[in-house]
Amino acid sequence: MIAVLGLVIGIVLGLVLQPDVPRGLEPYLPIAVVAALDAVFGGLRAYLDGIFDDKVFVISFASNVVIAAGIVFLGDQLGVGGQLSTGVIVVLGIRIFANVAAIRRHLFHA
Amino acid sequence: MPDEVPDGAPVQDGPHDDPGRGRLWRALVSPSRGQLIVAVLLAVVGFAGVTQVRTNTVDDTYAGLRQQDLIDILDDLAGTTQRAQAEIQRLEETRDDLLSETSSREAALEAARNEVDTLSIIAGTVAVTGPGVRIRIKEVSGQVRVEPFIDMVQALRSAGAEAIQVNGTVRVVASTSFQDAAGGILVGGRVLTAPFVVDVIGSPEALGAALRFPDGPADQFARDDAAELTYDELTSLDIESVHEPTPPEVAEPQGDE
Amino acid sequence: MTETSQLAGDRARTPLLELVTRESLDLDYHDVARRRARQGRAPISGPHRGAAVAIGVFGLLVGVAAVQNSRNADVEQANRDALIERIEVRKDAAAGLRDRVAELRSQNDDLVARLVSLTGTVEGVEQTREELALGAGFVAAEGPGLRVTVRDQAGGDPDGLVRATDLRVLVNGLWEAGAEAVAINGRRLTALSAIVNADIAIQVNKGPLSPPYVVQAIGGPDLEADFVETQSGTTFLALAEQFGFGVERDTVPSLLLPAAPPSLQQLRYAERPSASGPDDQEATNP
Repeated sequence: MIAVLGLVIGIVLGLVLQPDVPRGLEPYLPIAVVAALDAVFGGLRAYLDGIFDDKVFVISFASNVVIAAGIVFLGDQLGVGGQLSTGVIVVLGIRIFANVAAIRRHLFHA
Repeated sequence: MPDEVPDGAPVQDGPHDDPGRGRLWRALVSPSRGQLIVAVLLAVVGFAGVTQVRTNTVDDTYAGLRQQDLIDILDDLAGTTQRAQAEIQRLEETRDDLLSETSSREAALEAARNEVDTLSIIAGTVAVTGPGVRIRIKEVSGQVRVEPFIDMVQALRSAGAEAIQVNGTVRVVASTSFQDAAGGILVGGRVLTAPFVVDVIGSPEALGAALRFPDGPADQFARDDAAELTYDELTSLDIESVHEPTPPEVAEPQGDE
Repeated sequence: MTETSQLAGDRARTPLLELVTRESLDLDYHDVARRRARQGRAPISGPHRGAAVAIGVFGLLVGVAAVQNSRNADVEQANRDALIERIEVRKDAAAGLRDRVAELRSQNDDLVARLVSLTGTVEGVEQTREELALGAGFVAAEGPGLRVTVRDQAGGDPDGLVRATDLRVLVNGLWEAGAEAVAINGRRLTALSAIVNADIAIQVNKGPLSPPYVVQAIGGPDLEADFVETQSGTTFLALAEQFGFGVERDTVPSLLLPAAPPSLQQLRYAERPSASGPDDQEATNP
């Protein structure tokens, strides 16, 4: 499974290289991770549903991360960073829950 | 379920027709494997819940609090501290006011008590002691008359007499009057007879000088050889007699403060 | 076209949460799959290179975030510990302040109680003082009484001059008649007051008087009648007639006799027995 291999390589690279995240980007890293997680689970569900598409996955991944971080950044500039961040996390969380539930149905027929 | 529904009516639990209750009852009396699993999970939930509640109430270590919560606690404490400091300042001001007020009242009390002491002596209501003279007036060839007595008292007062007593029984005060009487002198309403002993508290030298003054008390009493006045200067003598003041009937004090 | 517009209408009508949950799987997947089916192409079998790269990036993100977190952990823990320590310090300080507040409150309560009792005592003593002062002549007195005005003989005869001894007899008679307070020319008579001749003037309370001599005495309605019947009263009136003094007697409904001067209220030799030493006998000037 190339995908799993890709994941492992990515994680190992992150742990070994230990890159320094620039100060300004630091607060947006967690949001980016959650947005990426949402895209990954969406892709997994699509794959199990049989409607997976490479292009769609890549685009949804990139746009999720950029848009989520962008919204929170905009919120910080306007002074409502905390609230917007909460909103983004809520929506992403709901989507992750729903996708994982669908995945669970596929895996366990439960 | 369909056979329990009357024609067209919506499915509802009637008062005596309760499939839900029936299921619950059956579940209670005949447990199955599914129920066992549910029981285990519920046990875990209950345990976790109780533990969390206990931890929440007993937690002293701030372990469960995020940084923002800690900052909030710090701000709260700052507010409390500020209020307490303001209260302390207010209380200290009140205390200082009370202390100064108390101190000034105590001074007033001291002053009033001192004044009462002095006034008591002047009014003759208390015994006194001090240096002075003891005067003896002995009748020689005649009877002592009241005029020299009055003049002697005035001369003694002029020489600074602060307390006067006659024959150990009558305290002479402002309102004491002297009258001739059969066999003696009426002093303050009491008949006193010769020989007269007059105790005076004041400067012994000044009093003696006043008595010896030319045409003063000694000379006046000796006029016509009627009586002889002698005196002793004493460093300390006691006057025990007191004057019982009659309460004023028409006079009223006018406070001047 | 109609499909998308109908979809848009549906979307606009569903509640937000339902919408979010329903569309948790991106619509794009459905669209692309539909298009593929319409075009007759087979669905993709699985993730290819592009997807793998994206997943790799995802893995990278996760790894970097994990590293970042562990780096921050120490600093964050130190911050936390510092915060907690500050909280503890402030808590102790606050407790200390609370104790001080309680202490001050109780102190103030005690002070108030003492002050109240002290005030009561002061009032009592001042009451006593006023009563004593009236009889002793050291507070002004008001009341009905008798006024006797004595003038030297009009003719200029030296024998006709009023002398201290004459006034003494007059005053003695007034006391005998029951006067409650007496003053001559506004000078109040006390137990320390003397009426004396000094040079050519009569002095009362160490101050010279000038004629006419107005003797005021506060007393009851019978004061005048009693006075003329006393020994001294009779003597004085006889003296007045003998030497030609001018004497006027008036019963006055209200006389105001001032207090004797405070300088007279000082004792230098007399003190109450069992006082501690020769020093503490000074009176205070009111």
